[in-house]
Amino acid sequence: LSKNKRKIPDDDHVIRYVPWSRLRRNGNDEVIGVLGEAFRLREVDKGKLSVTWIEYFDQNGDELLIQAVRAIRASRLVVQPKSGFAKGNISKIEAACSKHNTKIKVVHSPGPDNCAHASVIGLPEDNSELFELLASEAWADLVLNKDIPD
Amino acid sequence: MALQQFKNNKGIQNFPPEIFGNDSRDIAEFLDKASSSTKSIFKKDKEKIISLEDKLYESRAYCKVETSKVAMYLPNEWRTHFFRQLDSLMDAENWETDDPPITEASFNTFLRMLLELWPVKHPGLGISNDGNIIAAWTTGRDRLTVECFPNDKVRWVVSRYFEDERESAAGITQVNRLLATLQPYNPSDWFNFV
Repeated sequence: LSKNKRKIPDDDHVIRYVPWSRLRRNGNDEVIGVLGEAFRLREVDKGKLSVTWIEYFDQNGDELLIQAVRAIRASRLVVQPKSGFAKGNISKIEAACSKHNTKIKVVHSPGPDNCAHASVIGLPEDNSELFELLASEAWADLVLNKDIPD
Repeated sequence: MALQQFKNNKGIQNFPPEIFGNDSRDIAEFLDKASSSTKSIFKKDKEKIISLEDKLYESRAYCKVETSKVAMYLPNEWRTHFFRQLDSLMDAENWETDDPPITEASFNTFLRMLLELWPVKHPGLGISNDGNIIAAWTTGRDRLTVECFPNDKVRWVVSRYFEDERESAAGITQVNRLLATLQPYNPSDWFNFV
């Protein structure tokens, strides 16, 4: 059964790479979450937010997340030591977007360097309140790169 | 004012490592060599940037020098801590090569915001896709995030919880209107020292 270009099931999860400069810190420089800016599209994104589908891998529990992070590390993306990965559930992400009258689709879009790559399609270019909602609730589960083994 | 002091050749004494961090000597030497057109050096050099480290160094130096110009309003301890935050944020080892460092125009707005809000707790720092500095204050689940645009413009986003109900708002305003705009959300909860 081909997993290519299909919509990712609502119960599944995706992770997004979050650079050091988009992590939310407190005044003591301790990482406490993700900034909404982590979900703002850049010109190079061409309207698709890049993520990795966790359940693509045939593993259980925490091992799923580890495999997904390893897939990102093995891709062209250069993962910096102090970066992180924000994990979100598809239905919660969709529900958050829906609160801001935005209909999104999360589809599996494997690339040559990451077979679990997926894309979030339909995010607005500019909606700070929505990005903040994603960062604080729907997509707020953060794991730091340093905490995932090689 | 700080630049004038450098022109007077006071060098490193004015940028002590305990306040300016690892960049202290570099900043002092860089500015010491500068002629009366110190300011234009920043702009001219921008076009000759050859490496990521240069870009980040230049941005950190600009931020620290500009901050030193308003040093009389910011206690030494506050400044020292803030410079460490800048060093940490614009650390070459953790920098994404495609990302721009903090822009001068954005940092100028940030400094003005600090002075408008003063006395203010240290925000967490971040950077937008466009090189705008982001200030984030967090109290429990309540969050205030301010992105500083050029020309004294800021975009603020607030989310607060009242009896477990989330309330949020966002807007764009001039920096001198920020505090007034945030009044319905008890800004002192974020800004004030305990």
